[in-house]
Amino acid sequence: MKWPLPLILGYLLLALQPTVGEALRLGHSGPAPSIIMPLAVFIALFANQRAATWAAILIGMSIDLSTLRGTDALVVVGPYALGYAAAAYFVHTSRPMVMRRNPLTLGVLSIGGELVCSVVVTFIFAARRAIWWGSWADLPRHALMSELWDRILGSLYTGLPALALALILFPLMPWFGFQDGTGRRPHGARP
Amino acid sequence: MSPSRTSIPLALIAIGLLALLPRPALRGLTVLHDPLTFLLAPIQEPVRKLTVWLQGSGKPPQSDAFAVTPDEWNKRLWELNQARQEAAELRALVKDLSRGVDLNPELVVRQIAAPVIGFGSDLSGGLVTVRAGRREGVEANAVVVVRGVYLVGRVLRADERTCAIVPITEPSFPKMFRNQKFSGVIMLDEQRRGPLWQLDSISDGRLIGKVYDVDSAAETPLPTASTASAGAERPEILPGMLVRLSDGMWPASAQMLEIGRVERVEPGSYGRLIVTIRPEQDLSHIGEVMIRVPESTPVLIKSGPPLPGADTPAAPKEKRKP
Repeated sequence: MKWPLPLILGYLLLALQPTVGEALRLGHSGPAPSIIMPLAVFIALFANQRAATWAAILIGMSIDLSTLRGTDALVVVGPYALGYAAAAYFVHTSRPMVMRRNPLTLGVLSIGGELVCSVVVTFIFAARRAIWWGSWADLPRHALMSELWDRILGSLYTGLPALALALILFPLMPWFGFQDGTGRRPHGARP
Repeated sequence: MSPSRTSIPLALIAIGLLALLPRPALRGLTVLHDPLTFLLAPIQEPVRKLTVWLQGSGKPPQSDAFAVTPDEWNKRLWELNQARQEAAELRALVKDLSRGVDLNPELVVRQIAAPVIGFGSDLSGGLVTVRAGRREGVEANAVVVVRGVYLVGRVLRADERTCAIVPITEPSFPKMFRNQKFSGVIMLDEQRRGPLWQLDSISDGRLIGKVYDVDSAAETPLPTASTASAGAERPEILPGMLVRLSDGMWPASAQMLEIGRVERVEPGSYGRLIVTIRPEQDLSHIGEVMIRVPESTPVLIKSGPPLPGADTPAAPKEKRKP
């Protein structure tokens, strides 16, 4: 995979996520979709596992670093990095069972990937609450199950922007420089 | 196993350990937030302005040159109400002075206009990032308003170029500021203050609180059940009434800022009313805020109460961000 285009798209979607996500949010505190997950899923669908995992880690870590949490307004690095890595693994293992070039596949797998990511993120924050206490503990905004439920609803919602992003990502596929994930080179290429 | 095969598992283990670090250890990593936000700002700012414009920012239409715009009217009302509040506080202060209480210097404030960058890519973070920081004089606990009079939040932390704001509609707002549940006063009309309201909980962007008896400084005391039965006049709290900030734990210059309007009134326990307030402004639909920062030179009360319109907290100086 050629990295410049995924990095540029990742930067753009990361910058757009807060604003577009808030604009698409249902109600004041309802679910909001992720517009970054479809990019990670797209990469995981067509790139080799190594590139897809690193791309997912990079995207997830960027989300972690850009989000302030708690009374001290601190960043927690790791939950989304691991969540996106898990989502990339889920998509990569689902590849043999799906029609990769179908935009609906991107929508459905984006929902699945976001669900996997939500579970991992919620689990990590639950582990933090269980491990640390007193002044070292995080300040929970909501109850754990309430947070997980919000994330699950947001995951279901992610399918819609994923379908819209498919219209942009699929035409750009030649510039991603994907090699076939099975290790075969594109037709006509020298070994 | 080749290094390339072990790099991903090692990276995942390292990230897993990072994810479980306690809060004090996260401060070192948080320094990366500011430069990342700075990199994302060139795209986030114009997109946010576009989104706010598309959603309708709620700005009043331009009126003719001789009419007062709603914003100017609200600002003058706020100055008047703040002056009245200050007068009430001065009356109490005079009483205390006779018992030898120290004077507290009043600070003049300046307002820094700053664009809202966003909420962070994980929208569940709850904090809003604004492009103004220590370079512009922003400090933690500074009050954040919109259009000069609408209270929207407080600064939680100020970095060099950005700061993190907690909206007043954030459910964990009281916990972020030492469990202080702020209070306000319900305005019976544009100038007449009614009973005190104190925040109890925040849910779905609404502020829910209880109404309490007012102290002697208020104009219209809230009758309890006993005085109501004695036939005393009961100020009726109606949906649509304005609620202004009235809390001694907030800066003097922030008193009487508009919190929101009464949305619902319900009976509560012990005869107290439960009033739900809908804030007038929602940070998610705002492209720019104003951060109120105290000036370095305090204005002393010894020289006499300053008149509205002069260098007083009731008439804050406005400083536009360059």
